[in-house]
Formats: sequence, structure tokens, C-alpha cells
Amino acid sequence: MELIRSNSTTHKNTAEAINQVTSKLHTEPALLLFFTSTIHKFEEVTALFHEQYPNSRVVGLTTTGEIGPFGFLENGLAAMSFSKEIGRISTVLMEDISKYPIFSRNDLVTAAKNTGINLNSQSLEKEGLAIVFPNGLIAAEEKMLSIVNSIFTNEGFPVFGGTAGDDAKFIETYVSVNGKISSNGGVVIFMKPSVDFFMLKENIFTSTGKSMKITKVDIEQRIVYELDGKKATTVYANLLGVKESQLDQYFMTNPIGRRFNDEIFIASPFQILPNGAIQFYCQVFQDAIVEILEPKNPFETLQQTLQTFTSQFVQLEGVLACNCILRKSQFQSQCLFPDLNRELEKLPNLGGFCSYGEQFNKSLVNQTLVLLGFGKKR
Amino acid sequence: MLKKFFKQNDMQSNIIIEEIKSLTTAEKASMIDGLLDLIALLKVSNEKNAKGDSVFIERITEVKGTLEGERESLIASSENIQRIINEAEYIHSITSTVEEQGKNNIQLVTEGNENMDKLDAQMNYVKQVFTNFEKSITEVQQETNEIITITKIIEGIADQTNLLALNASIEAARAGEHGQGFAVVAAEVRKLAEQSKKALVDINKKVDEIVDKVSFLSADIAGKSKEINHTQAMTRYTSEFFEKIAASEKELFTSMLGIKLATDKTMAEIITFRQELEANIRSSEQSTKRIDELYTFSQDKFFISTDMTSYISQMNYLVEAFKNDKL
Repeated sequence: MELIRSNSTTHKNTAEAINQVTSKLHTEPALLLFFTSTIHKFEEVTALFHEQYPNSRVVGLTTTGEIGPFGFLENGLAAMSFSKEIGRISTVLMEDISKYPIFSRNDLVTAAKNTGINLNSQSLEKEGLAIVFPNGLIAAEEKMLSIVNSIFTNEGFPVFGGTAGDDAKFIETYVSVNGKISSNGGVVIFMKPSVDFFMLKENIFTSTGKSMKITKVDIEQRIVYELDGKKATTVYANLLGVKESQLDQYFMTNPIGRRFNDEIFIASPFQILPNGAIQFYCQVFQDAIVEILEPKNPFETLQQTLQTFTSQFVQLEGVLACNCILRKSQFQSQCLFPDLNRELEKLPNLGGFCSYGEQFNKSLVNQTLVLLGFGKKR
Repeated sequence: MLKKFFKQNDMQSNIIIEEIKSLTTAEKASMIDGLLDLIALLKVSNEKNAKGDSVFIERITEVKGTLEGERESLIASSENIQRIINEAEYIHSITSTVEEQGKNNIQLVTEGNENMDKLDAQMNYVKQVFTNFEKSITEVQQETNEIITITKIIEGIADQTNLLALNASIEAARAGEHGQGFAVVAAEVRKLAEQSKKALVDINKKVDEIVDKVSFLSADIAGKSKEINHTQAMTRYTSEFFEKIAASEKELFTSMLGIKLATDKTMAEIITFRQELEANIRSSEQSTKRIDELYTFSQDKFFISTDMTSYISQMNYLVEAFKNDKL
């Protein structure tokens, strides 16, 4: 009995696509995840999946590229099913995560407890995990994470996830739980798995050694006005050695990173505002020293990542992956998909999507690939 | 009741709603103002806190950089010291070998000297043998001379016998027929006398040969004795050299022992220094570990700041909703 199954399709007809995808999934799973392009109407996809799996927890979201058993796909539909043997599962749809995620706190506490998670445990990493799918474009990931993490007395509960996308239209994203749709909420899935799990975050960037200090910032709006006491775009462009007018062309290849010891948390610039300020995909802080990054070889890095990831397991049942939209654009521009897919398809029962942000434990990061594997660890 | 709510965080929603409903407009306005002021203060404090965190990380990054630089320098010093220790150990092994070799050399020189003494004694014995031999030769020479004297006497007798035999022959001839028998005897005597003389010539010749050979032998022994004396002198001279070599080896041995002791002392000091250095490296590693803990701590604080920002933002929305009486 396979604990996890995954499938994907690029069939344009929604009903046919769902038929194709579900043909290889469990007939009555404990949890079904679907990741759909906006070429399919989200309401229709949600309804059809909910109809087909009335006794399962069905969670779905819009994406900006899907990941299936054969790697990256475009304008497609990918899904994963988790059998009942995977363990205990509960789901919560947090409404309005940009303003009132606090209202869902009690639901989160109840759901986590119902899943058998001890909120006061001293070793939370052994209690289970939360998979989160916040909506994108509402700058709400940190708020959602803050409330999810707030239900635990101690630090260290594993949280994994990706932000919903909309095929880079940047208009509106959707998530759904058991047929209920939200464009301003976020999904939380609590799992107390019967098997081991392992999470990994891949960084394909390294520091250029050039650093700047954030001297004027609006943390909540994720806007940096000044770096090193001067206009943000001027300093960023000067350090990169490019024209200020061309700076946004380098955002994809040269994001910034905040270093904690040897770990770099990537913050990707989203857009340049008319006053020369730069808006980011995640929060950045006053007086923080940030380094300008440059890409490593993505193919070699992925090979190393997958080696590290798979070596954790003696038996790997399935893998959930969230890959940043900016990485996807980079891979597309460098025509890397065939090579990367050859590596990704080696992972069993792979599913996931390209995201507008990645959640890894307490942090929202950008330009990252996060992997979550289930199975028997070494 | 509101106090109780804030104190115990008790979600007695209905009571709170009742309390809120019973507030006058002025009370509600002042509550909202108070909440907004507090949120503003919280925001400022959180920003200050985040700013402090940034400075904190900046400083620990600097400290870590310095510490890593020092650690690298300590490791480089430790490696250099290891090289010095290796060299010192090499010197130590060389001095040990030389010291051992010195001991062997002194032993060999002593044995050599002893052998020289034995050789000298042996030569003295040979010399004595030669002296005795020379004495014997002198005696042989004297006895040979005596033989020569005797042969001369015999030669005189043979000559007289010959003369007597000649006279007897003459007398026999005078006696005529009666003297014929005597003449034969006289002739025979004469023949014997001549034969005796001839034999004496042979004896003399042999004696001369013996005298020559003995003289040669005597001269040879004298020469050999001189050579032995010369060899003996050389042996003594060599023996003196052996003694000088032995003294020099002893001096070398003492010096080597000094070098070995000095090297050992230096090595012990270097090893102590290296141990201190390693303790410093371990201490530096401990400091790096503590710095890493500080990084983890600052990372946690960073997440707390992120959470605080999220909470403050949500509080703002809630107060705004409270103010407007709608979410």
C-alpha cells in the first residue's frame, strides 16, 4: 500500500484533467492536495475534487506553475493523495490573514489538539508538522505564520509551505479547503504522521560579499526607502555596478540576503516604486545588514540538494515541493527545465507548485525550493 | 471586569461585549485613543528592538570575524609549532644516534688502544726472540771461526804428512828394491794427505758459505729489529692518537649530551606552549560556539520581531474595526 501518490496533467479540459490526474491517486485518501494553473477555473476544480472525494480532506490552491512526478509543468494540474495510513490529519481555513488571522487561533488550537499534537511539548519537532498555503499578493504570510506559531508554548514546531500564485498575473490567488474557497485566507494542515518526515530548504544563491545597511524601511509594507542613508535603488544599483534604470532586471539574479551565521535568508525585491524605494516579497528590518547575492549553478545545486535530501531516508514515500516563482523564471530563461526535471523525476510521488513565497518553520523566505519528504528515515 | 480580562486573558466574550456596550461614547473614544497610543508605542518599541537586533547581529558578526581571524592565526601558529616540534624531534633522534655512535666510537677506540698495547707487547717479544737469535748467530760465528782454525791445523798436518810421505818416497827410492813396498805406502799416505787437503778446501768453502749466510742473517735480523723498533714507535704514536681520539670522542659525547638535553628542554617548552595554544584554540572554538548560540538567539529574536510586527498590525486592524464598529 503506497502512503502517497501523485500525478499531473496539462490537459486543458478541466473535467478531463481531473479524471486523468485522479486515475492514479487513492480512491479515498485521508488528504488530497491539488495545485492548479489559472487556466482552470478554481471554483470548478475545487467543486469537482470535493465532489469526487466527499470523505477526504481536500485542499487546493492556484499556482504559477505546477510540479508533478516528472518535474515542472506549465498551465497544468498536479495532485497528491495521502492514504489514511499516513497518520492523523486536520485542516483549518484561516480567513482574512492580512487583517485578522487572530480570529482563527482557536480553530488552530482545536485542530492541532484533535490531531494529537501536544501544544506544550518540550520537543515539538516530534509532535508532527503543519503544512501552510497562504494566499499571495496580500502580504500576509508573516501574520499567518505568527498566529500558527503562537499556539505552541515552545519553539520548534515544524512548519512547511508555499504561497499560492496566479500564473504571474499578480491579480488574485485562491486557496480552498473541502470546497470552501478564499482569496484572502490561508490553509493550515496539521499532520501527526505515522512515518518519519524531513524538510529541506535549498539556496541557489551565494553572497557577492557586497553588503548594505537598511536605513529606512516600512516593515509591514515590506518597503525599503533608503540603504546606507541614500535612495535604495541608487545604492543597490551602484553596488551591483548597473544603471539604476536597469536595476529591476537584476532582481531575479541578485536578490538580497540577511545572514544569520552561515545561513542566508533570501529577500527578493518585488518592484521599484516611483520614489526610488524597493518593495520586497517578505519583511525586511530597520538597520539590518543585507548582502547582495548571486546565483550558484542551479543544476549542480539541485543535484547536491536531492542527494542530501534522499540520503536522509531508507524508504521515501513521497515529496511535496514548493519552488519560488523567481527561480522558475530564472530556470525558464536559462532553459534548465529538461535538466532539472531529469533530476526531480527521480523523487518518488513528487507533487507541488511554484509559489509566491516559501514558508520554512518560522520564516517566510524567497527564491527558495523547500522540500518535504515522508518515509522511513535512516 | 476589563481589568480581569487583561489580567487573566479570560475569554468571557459575553461579559466583555456587555461591558463594551455599556461604555459611553467618551469612554469608548478614550479607550480607542489609549489603545492606538499603546499600539504606536508598541510599534516604536518593536522597531527599536528590531534595530537593536540588527546592531547586535552586526556586532556579533564582527566579533565572529575577529575570532575566526584569531583562530586561523592560532591554528597557523599551532601548525608552525608542530613543524618546530617535528624538527626538534628529528634533531633529538639525530643527537641520540650520534650519542649512541659516540659511545660505540669510544668503545672502539678503547679496544683499539688495548690492541695497540697488545701489539707493542707482541713486538717486544719478537724483539727478544730476535736478540736471542742474534746472540745464537754470534755463537755460531765464533764456533765457525774455531772450525776454520781447526781446519788450518789439519791443513798444516796434511802438508807435513805430504812432505813426510814425499821424503819417505825419496828414502824408499834410495833403498831400492827393498824400499818398493814402503814407497807404495808413502805414495798412499801422500795420496791421503792430498785428499785430506782437498776435503779441507771443501770444508773451508762450506764454512765460508755458512759464515756468509750467518753474516747475512745477522744483518737481516739487525734490519728487522730496526723495523720492529720503528713499527713499535709508530704503534706508540698511533696509541697516543687513539687516546686523543678517545678524549675528543668523550668531549663530543658530552657536547651531544648537552645538545640532547637542551633540545629535550626546548621540546618540552614547545610542547607546553602548543598545549597552551591548543587550549586557546579550544577556548576560541567554545567562543565560536557561544557566538553561534548568539546567532540562534538573534535569529529567534528576529522571528519574534516579525511576529510582533504581525501582532501590532493585527491590533491596528482590530482597533480600527472597534472604532468603526465593523470589521
